[in-house]
Amino acid sequence: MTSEEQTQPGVYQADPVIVDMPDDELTELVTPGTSNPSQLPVPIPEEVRAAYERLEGDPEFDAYMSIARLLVGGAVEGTAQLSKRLQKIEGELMRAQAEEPKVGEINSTSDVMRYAAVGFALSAGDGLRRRFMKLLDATDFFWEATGNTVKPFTENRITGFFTAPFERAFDSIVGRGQETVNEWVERGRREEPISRQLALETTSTIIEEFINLLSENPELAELVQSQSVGLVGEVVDEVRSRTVSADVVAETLVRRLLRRPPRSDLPAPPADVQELVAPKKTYPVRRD
Amino acid sequence: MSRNLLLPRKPILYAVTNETLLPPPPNLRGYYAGFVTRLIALLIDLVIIFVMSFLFNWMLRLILNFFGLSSLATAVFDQTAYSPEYGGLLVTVLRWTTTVLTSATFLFVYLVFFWTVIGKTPGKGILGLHVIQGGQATVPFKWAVVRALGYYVSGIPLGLGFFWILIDDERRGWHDRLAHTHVLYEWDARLGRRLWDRIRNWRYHNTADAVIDVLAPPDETIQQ
Repeated sequence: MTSEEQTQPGVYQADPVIVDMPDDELTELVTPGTSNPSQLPVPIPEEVRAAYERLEGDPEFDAYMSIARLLVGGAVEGTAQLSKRLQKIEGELMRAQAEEPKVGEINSTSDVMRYAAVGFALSAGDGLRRRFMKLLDATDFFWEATGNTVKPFTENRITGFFTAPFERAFDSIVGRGQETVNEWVERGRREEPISRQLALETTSTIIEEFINLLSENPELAELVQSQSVGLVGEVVDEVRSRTVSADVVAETLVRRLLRRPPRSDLPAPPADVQELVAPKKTYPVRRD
Repeated sequence: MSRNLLLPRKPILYAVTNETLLPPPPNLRGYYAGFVTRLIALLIDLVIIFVMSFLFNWMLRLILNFFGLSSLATAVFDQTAYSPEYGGLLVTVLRWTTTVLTSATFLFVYLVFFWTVIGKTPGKGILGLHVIQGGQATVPFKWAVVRALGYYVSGIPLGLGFFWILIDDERRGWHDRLAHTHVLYEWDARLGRRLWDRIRNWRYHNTADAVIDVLAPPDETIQQ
């Protein structure tokens, strides 16, 4: 890559996030004739640039696209950050355990079950991968064998007369599909770094602003706290209300089955009994 | 089961006197608490007791280990220790006795303590219930003990003593009868909106049009 390309305005230098796979068919389809497509300068299309310019000042920006970018970027960036941290932690753990790690003891049947579950969970991925590769091999073998068998019947002038139009139509559909996929790949390559950056910036900005707001406004912090407490109160009230309804339904059913008089015919508890759980009267406190 | 079985022959919560339908109380505070609410409160209490007794056993084991009684701790608490070298049947009996006694003691102490001090256990408190006895907002120690033992009386015959709440006119179980206690709603209890709607619909089809307006409950009686 020349220095002219690097400083060219309007040219976006994509991060080398795509793993270079020399024999990968997809790589060749995307960027034919290049060995490392991730290092190519990718020009930002006009519509993306326009959308970003609208983001700066115009309140009527494309909200859908922004949110989609934020979600995609959040998912990709979140996964990448999590993987990075996992790799770091695992590396530190391996370095800390210089000697061979201890093997867990087996003292009971439950220990054996636990170890079996852990072993199964870790082995399942390898097993699935092996089975998938075997399935692919079997599929290749099947197509190769059947293809060679029926080749004399399908590839001759007579059948070709009938099948040629279908083959051409099929090739056309495949070609159009391939073009669409290529466009998606191109757009994904352009959008992914932008989306990740957007997600990072948005998350850090929101968290920073929220913390600043809380630190500058103690009333707001109290409000957030009281809202949380209020929410718990509402949930408890809802549960209580539902259990009271369930009381009435269950009792009505049973009393009807046993032909007992309904509760509505029964007297309420005496007033002195009800008074025991009456709300306590509060008096306003005079503040001088 | 007939669908109408769910519906009352007369409007629930309405006192019927001389063919005059009185409006319902603004809320059910001070009314006898029903079976489902009390059952859920009891389940919450049992969960709390389970956690407490687990923590207690764990701490007891730590203490025994600390004082060098690790063999005893293993024999009593370690479920994998069932083998002839640990005493076989004797150890099993000891372990079960410890577990049952610990749980029963915890249940007893927990119930008696909370009824005596504040008239409700944490589970009952969460669901807005209160136990009263003899015109007092708390249960005297003697009657709290009787009520706690009454739980076993109610529970042993397949829980019949608890189910008695469903058919008793004052919503009392056998343990309530033994200890002369009542359980009341301590909050502004209201029925759920859906049940109210169902009752109202039933009344609409079973009551003369002229009294429908009278039956319409005030808004504050309905849980929005």
